Amino acid sequence: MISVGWLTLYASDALYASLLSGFAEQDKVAADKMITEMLALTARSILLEETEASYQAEVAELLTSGDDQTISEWLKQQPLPITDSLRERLDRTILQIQAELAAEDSSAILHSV
Amino acid sequence: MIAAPASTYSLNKLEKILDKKRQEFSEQFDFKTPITSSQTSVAVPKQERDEIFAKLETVAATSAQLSEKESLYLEQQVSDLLGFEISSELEGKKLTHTFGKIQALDEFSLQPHTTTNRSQNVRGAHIQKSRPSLGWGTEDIVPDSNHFLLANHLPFLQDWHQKYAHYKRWYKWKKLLLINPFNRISVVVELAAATLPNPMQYQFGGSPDLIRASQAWSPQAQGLVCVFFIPDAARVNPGVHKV
Repeated sequence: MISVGWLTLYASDALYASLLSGFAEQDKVAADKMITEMLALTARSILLEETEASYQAEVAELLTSGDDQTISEWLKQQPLPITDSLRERLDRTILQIQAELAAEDSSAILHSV
Repeated sequence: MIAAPASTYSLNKLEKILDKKRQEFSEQFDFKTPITSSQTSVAVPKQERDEIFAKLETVAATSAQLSEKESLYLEQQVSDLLGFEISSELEGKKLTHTFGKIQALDEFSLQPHTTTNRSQNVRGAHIQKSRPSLGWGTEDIVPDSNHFLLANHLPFLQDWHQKYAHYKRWYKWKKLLLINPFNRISVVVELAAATLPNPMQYQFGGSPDLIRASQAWSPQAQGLVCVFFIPDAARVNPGVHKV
């Protein structure tokens, strides 16, 4: 389960669980933390790209504030194309991370989407 | 979907991917991650923000008449603060007031087609016998269903009696920005009615949702607000914002 509240609204739990299941039991806590940070960075990039330059620092501050409720409310006010794009790119990010990790591991079997 | 491999993924490799992502993010955006809460408001320093709000508070409280130059300067300052343009005049048209006191109106004086269910859920919503001014609110569809509706007594406009048909069309559902400078809250609102029940005492009227969301009747604000046009309303996020 993704631990950051507002990310759970947009990232796929199933894909996330699939990625996390590839780690050894003792590494899962650290992996969970790193993957969550990567997803948060991706989300921040997408949202900042969509934000006017003069607003970017304020939006960045909001997204790093840790105030889940405010961020979720703000995200709900964003136009649908932005939140749809956010969903799509977060899913793609999880798949990319998984692909990069799998590429190193010669025993990984890749299945096409 | 890529199935998890039988062997485990490498934590070191994951860390490298994370570092790469951090670096990409830092390169893309000038400010570094994470931005701490102490780095507030980029464009306008805190002291200047305080000054702008102090000025808005003073003008709202005293209903002082600003000269055109002062007014333009203040609008520019507020625009800079908000990150989008606001103005007290749009296409040569104005509201009767930019600063004034807002009256809490019941839901039905602005939106009589509101369902009984909704009126039961809204504190301060009462069924009113009379129709709202000009019948605007009798339309079935509210353009933006945010229910932040504003009234301004447009018959006070100098040439209302000559141009009311045109004005009625032009002002209808116009997007405006209401600012409560005392609590530093802004709300994107829509002009829903052209008359006020008590125009000598109040300059604006607001739906129950608006009055609550803007905290217009907080002990500090006492109903005093500022209302501006938003020339490029399509680019402004609707709803309530802490300024």
